[in-house]
Amino acid sequence: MINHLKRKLLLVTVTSLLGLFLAGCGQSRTDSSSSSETSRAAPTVSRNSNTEMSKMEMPAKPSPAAGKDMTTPSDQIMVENFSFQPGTLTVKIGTTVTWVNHDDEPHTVNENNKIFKSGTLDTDAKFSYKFTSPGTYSYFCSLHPRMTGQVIVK
Amino acid sequence: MSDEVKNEKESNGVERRSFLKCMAWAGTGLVWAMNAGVLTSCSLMPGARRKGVFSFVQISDSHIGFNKEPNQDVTKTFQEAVNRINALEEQPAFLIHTGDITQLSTPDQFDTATQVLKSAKASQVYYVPGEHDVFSDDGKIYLERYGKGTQGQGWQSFDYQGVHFIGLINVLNLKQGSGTGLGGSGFGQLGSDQLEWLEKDVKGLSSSTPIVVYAHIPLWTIYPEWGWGTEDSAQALSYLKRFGSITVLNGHIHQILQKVEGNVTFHTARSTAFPQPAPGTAPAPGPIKDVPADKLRSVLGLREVTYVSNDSPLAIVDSALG
Repeated sequence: MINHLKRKLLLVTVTSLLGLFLAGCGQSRTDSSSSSETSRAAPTVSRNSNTEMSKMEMPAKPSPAAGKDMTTPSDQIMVENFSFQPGTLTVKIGTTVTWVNHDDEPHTVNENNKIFKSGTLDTDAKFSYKFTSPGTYSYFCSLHPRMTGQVIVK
Repeated sequence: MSDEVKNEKESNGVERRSFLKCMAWAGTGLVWAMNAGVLTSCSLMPGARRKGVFSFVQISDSHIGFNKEPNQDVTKTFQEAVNRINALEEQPAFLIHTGDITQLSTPDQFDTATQVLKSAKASQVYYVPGEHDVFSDDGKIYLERYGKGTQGQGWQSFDYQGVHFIGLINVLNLKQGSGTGLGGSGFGQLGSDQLEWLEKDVKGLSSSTPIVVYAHIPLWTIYPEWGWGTEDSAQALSYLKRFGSITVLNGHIHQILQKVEGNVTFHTARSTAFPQPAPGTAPAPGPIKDVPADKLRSVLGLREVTYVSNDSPLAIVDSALG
């Protein structure tokens, strides 16, 4: 009996926690940093063993300043705390986007339709992909499939 | 020291079970207390074992290759766990590793794990992979190393002294979760091929056969936000419903949680590498980093499971590494 009540309580707790998290995550907006940090060099396309990607260097493209994260260059996605930041990134055609893993856990970047795949990204490892066609690219981490993100290419 | 308390309890009006109430287990510093309704008991004192008894050890989440806080030498703590097993008065019949053998499924890491396990006196080790063992190549190297004697994508069953053991794989073909942002691992999944195999595998067994199921990701839903559960485990458990005793051993969450549901008792295990936070107590299920060095071994561990007889539930003793 007690197990049954405990189970109900757990379910309620988990459901409300889940609700809170989802509410918090619901506002994933396109955001990109303003130009402040871009005194740094354009991100170099980096190589990872299993990746397919472009070999060209791309200048960082300034994007409409709207972002909550002022330190992330407009074509970088931080992988941290088991999430992709920003969750949705909008870029122009021809942009190279770079993912950087800041977690102590390894992660991967796998496009849903297998258009690109990063291979294992351990801490501080990077993966870059040059987007040459417009569209919405959804991806996830194959180790932690609840981690998802999108790149919108216009 | 253990106090033996015999309670006669009738389950389904058929069997009596004896319970052992264990106040402390000398030498390991871990107290395992008995809760009313939990049909598990402490191991018998050495020397008191009856004929036909055997034990096995579950170890989990060695993550060979991990080298960050709170444990920068997971190979060392894995070896310590094996040393502890070797020091047991009665050697286990075999070991079961419930996955995340390696951190990045590289050949080197698998080699190191194999080397450590070679030093175990127990001659047989059974494995199921964790997601860390299969994510980089869909399980190819894992199967090369540990696929012998398994079916399909690496599942298997075997019998030992009348107990039927089933190793399930729930870390392959993980599907993308919904939503973005906070979260972590996706739910595990067994898949229809494996479920079909499982149904056939247990069909001919008598319902009094004790069943032990082992798989990496928990087979009950512990915390959906972190994906601590298996999508299609209910179907698997439905094939086992008729059995009198089902013990499920899992890993993945690096802490001990237990649950009883009818004839099924579920147990998750400690890691030999690093602890993870209790559900919902941290933003993400990554390693707990701020464990003081002198406390590290108290949150790592292994599990000894003893089978006494058909009339008794499996006896489970969890020990910390220090």
